[in-house]
Amino acid sequence: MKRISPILLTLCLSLLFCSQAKAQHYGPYVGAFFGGNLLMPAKSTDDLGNFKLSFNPGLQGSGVAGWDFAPDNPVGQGRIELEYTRRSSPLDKVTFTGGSFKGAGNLTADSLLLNFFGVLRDKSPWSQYAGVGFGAARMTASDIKVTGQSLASGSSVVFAYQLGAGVDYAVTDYLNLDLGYRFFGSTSPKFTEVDGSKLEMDYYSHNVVLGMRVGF
Amino acid sequence: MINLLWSGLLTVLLLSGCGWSGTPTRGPEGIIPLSSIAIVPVSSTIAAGTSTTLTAIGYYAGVPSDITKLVTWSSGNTAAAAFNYTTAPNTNRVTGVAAGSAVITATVGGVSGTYPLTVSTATVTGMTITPANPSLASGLTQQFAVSGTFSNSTTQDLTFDATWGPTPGTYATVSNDPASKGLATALKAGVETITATFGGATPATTQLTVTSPILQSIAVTPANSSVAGFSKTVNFTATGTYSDGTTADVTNTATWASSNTSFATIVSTSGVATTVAAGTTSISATLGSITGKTNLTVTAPVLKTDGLQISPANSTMSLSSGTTQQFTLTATYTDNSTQTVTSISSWSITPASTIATVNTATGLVTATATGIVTIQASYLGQTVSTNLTITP
Repeated sequence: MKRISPILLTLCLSLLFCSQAKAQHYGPYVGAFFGGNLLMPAKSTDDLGNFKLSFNPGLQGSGVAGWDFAPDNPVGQGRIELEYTRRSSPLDKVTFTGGSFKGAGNLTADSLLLNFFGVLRDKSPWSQYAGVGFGAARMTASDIKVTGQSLASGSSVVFAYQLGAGVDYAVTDYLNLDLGYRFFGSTSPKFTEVDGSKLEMDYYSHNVVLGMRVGF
Repeated sequence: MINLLWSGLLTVLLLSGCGWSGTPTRGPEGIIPLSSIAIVPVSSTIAAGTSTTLTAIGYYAGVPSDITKLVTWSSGNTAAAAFNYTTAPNTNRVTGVAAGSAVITATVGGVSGTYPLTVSTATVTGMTITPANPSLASGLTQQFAVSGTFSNSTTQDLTFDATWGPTPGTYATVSNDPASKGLATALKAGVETITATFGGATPATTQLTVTSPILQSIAVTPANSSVAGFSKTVNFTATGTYSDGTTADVTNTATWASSNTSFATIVSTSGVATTVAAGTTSISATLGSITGKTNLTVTAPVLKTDGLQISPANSTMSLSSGTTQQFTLTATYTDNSTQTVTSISSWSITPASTIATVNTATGLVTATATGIVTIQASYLGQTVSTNLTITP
């Protein structure tokens, strides 16, 4: 966190000194994003019934490579990109019928999504966007525990999707800063409990990201 | 496109954005080690010949969880107390065999809990059935309980241990099945004496008054019907289902209503609905506190080809005898029904001139000079016209 704060500060301060965008970039770009995520309380199901997993906020990082559509593109203004993201969500507690127990360990999601964003642009360097992404995610239960006892482990590859929106600031023709929100979800990943039975859980998370894209 | 994406985003967030808020259905067993078991009896001392149920509470890292269904029960002295039932819901029921004491044990996963149960020599001296003298509609059920007073001044629930009657009676029957002891079912209107017998005490009795069956639900037919056209009638029927399983036509005794009379009205006493405009309304039939509903969807009527007729056709009007002329429009639908649609059509006049004007909503033409104009009326995508000659 101490390393991230100066980066965010630098990005924000740069907005104060930058000039009006000259022209809209189109063509290829790459980018990097960092942020936080909150995995929603998840319904988890095994052979004996349902219980709840609650998580603490976690960190995430993304890398993207995409293509900005030209202004006169017939499909409209926007961009298409391939995004890899790693999200980590620390388990906070596990709630059974009798009560809640302290949890530990991380649930990690490595996702590869194809995103489509529509962009609203005018003469201002600011623009807003919204879009969707589809792809796959590898969910890994890194020895998640409850009161020191192993709850589940293993990994699962699932269909994943996200809905996103945000604002974008064109620092130059080739450099954009981006502050965005993502709702990330997937089909239910399955893990293995200590006794070998299967544990299936929901996965829906809220994500806030800050990053930059560089065109070339 | 952006609006569509925003709408989708908000929809998903509303549906799943707050996470699961349901109630867990399983305990921590199998995941968190069970540290201890506590046995909780309904009665710590029972009389010989009676029984009681036990609850097993498991402690997982200090958190209690009901594990009654998970444990295996045993008695350390079967001459005093024994578990005689192997099927749910009575596996946790222990019966006093003879006076003495027995250590009851509940075991699961290698962890056990114990409880010292005492079986006394007390004998039952009196019994009371609850509820006393209830009423019950034919076809419904009532759970009875019987409490016994014993010679040592204790009381004990004897619902399971007593023998119930009648099985069956003329007006009601009471179950002696271990899974439903004391559950009475009303058969037909009348008064039945319910009895509970145990030991040497005088049987306890109460009167169960069985009343006529009561209405449980109403079904409205035709269900979810669709009607094309306006001013059409639909005859709805309400069928009531009663507590004894019988059904009866309650069309003329129910009170009918339409949730949106802009689309269809209904006669409150007969269930005859009349369509008004395109849309969906909920048709309900209510009798007492019971309501049955169904939807009625009214769709726009379909005009026949050349289904509009304007009148008067190719008429002549004289300014000397008046300056206005009312036109009417009649629609003929594919089912050959007709409807005057003058006031719900769109009227126009061509060529637009100072000779005459038309009220676009009513079809009333006002002439101001001589000449010939064409009056047009449009309805449901069709247009019809006629000439009007205006003379001095």
